[in-house]
Amino acid sequence: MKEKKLAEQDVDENQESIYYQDTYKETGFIDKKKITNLDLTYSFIIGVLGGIISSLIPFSLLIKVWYPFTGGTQLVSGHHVIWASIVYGLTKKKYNIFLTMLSKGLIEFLLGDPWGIIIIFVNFMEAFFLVQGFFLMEKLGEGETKLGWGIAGGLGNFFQAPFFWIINQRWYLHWSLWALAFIFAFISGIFIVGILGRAIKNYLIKAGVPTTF
Amino acid sequence: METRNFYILIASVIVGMVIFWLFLFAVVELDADLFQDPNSITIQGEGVNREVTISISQLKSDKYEQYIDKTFHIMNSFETEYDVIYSGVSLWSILVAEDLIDQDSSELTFQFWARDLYHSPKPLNLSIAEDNSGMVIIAYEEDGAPLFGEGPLRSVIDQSVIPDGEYSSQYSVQMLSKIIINLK
Repeated sequence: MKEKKLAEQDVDENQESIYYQDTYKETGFIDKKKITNLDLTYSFIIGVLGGIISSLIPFSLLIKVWYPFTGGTQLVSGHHVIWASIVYGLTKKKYNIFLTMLSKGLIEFLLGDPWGIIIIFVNFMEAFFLVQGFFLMEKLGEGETKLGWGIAGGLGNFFQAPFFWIINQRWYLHWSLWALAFIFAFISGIFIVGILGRAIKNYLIKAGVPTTF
Repeated sequence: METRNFYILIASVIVGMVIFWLFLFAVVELDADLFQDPNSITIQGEGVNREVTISISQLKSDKYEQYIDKTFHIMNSFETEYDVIYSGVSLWSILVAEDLIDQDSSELTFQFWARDLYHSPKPLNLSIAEDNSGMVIIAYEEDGAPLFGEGPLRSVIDQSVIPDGEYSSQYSVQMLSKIIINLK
């Protein structure tokens, strides 16, 4: 009799916990298209982190010691965009890519980026093309694969290279240097933004970081 | 192996080969010296009577005209202007001390090249360096400290002596490796 009562109590507690869980989900995530507190938290914390790290750590030194030509530092340029792909992986909402890159751009601007206010526009541009990349890969059925993330990351990181080279008016440099720089930007996007971003996202989810999708 | 993965492999190999050949092409086409000592510069071209290579320690000697902690006014392609303090040696004094040129400076041009194959946008008339000896220098220090990432040597030209429509930042070449003096 006592055991039966305990069993009924267990069932009630389970139902209660399911009820509360459902209730929590209903109130916390009423509509997946709406911005949740967690979305904002991830976007701004990771964006600020990215802004500080990308601004203050000279990643280009990793390249300059072994690759001799101008444009080679594009090989590590993906560190500017990886933050957005991590947030996208945790939230699966494309506008969070914009929020992350906005906060990152603001931090870079406030830290005295040599490009000034233009750096915010550049971050938006990278966000836009990363969103387009993920959108395109979803349409092609590669939304969650390494290939899909790689190409989306490549697209997200690629366009800043021609933008900077054009705005710097480097017309007088040899075309092979232009081509190498742009290829490096795309490759950096594939490996750092796409594949590394996806791996970090997977590790974070495995570690128990809550997602919002 | 899945067909999809095979295509990815093929695409990767093609991209790798493109990079390899583009790199080789750039080395050959731009005459890159991958093993040049970064602590020296070479002065060459059809405008000089011989090619010379000068080390930093030689550049710092009293043989050449030195400018210590001189403020240079720089403008970049956004037309943002700023001042930077450099120490370096006058380009014209090097040419004179080494007796490298036989023609009049107005008949010659100079262009800076970096180790990473960046170069100043166009050759400038050498008379600019002669008439403004202290405004066209090979810098080895910035704010009293040796140049690190952008060095050990870089060219610096003050905006005031740059032709109209040109920006001094594009002529201030980091990681300077050679100066080409050519006939106009």
